[in-house]
Amino acid sequence: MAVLAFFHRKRQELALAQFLAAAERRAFQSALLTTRREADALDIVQDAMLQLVQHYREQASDEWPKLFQRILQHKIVDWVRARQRQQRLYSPLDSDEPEDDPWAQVVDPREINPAAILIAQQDVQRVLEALEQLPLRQRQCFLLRAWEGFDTESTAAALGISTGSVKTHYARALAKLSSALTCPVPQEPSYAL
Amino acid sequence: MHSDDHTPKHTQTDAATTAFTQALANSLDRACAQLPTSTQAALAASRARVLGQPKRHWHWAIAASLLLALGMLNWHAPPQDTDAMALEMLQTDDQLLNEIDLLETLAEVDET
Repeated sequence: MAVLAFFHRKRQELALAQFLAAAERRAFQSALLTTRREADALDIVQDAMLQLVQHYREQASDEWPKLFQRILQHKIVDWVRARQRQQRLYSPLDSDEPEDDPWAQVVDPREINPAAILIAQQDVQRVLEALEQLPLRQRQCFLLRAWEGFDTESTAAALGISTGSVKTHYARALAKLSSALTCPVPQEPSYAL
Repeated sequence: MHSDDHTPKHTQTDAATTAFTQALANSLDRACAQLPTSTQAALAASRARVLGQPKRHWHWAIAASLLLALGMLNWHAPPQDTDAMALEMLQTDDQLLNEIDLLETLAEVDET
């Protein structure tokens, strides 16, 4: 029994190492989009990896992606809050960015121009800058839904928000990204008869 | 001009949105692949550090340290003189018996 347990533990450790090796770059890129500082992003990723290893190494390996993202996104939020507290100390009169009407920002997806998508695809830096401009929650929802392939429920669980909020943030993120990265094309006039 | 007149409108928009998000995801993947070597090395070092961390057995470590400390204290404590202790106990017993005798004698005197 002890030998079996030993081999199981070794296999689990190997799988965990492989998972982290596969996830670390994406995690770093996610954190970097928020922190914009490599050292801070590295710290966040290391903290997230450490927490996963210390608390969840015994969990089933198919749970790790969701757990890791939940830890990572919470670390990113913690970093933002700490930074906001720090900034408030120095400029107490600064107020938060006013919340715009979300529906006013929604762009009709028909306005997405495939040619412009190709251009945007070639320009990685432009995409990263557009993502950096998004508010934190919108960026998190977009990254989890569109990049990590999470469904709405998993995204909501990872971020600790409702599924309705995820849908709203994701729609807003898409709208902002499409308006930032693509050129609107003229509407085709004869859809409605 | 309509090229996809028979395709429902929502299908077209869904396809466009999917293509858009896919393009963005590809860009992000490319950004990851283009990370500087120094960053990749730093990430690998972080991972190695994290995986090399021992499991958190600090509570067991504290308990073991305390037990060890107690053991050391006992080891270095001077051996007890058992004869002296026995003598002390006997003397205490004698003293108690004497006191009881005295009390009984006093009680008898009171009765008479």
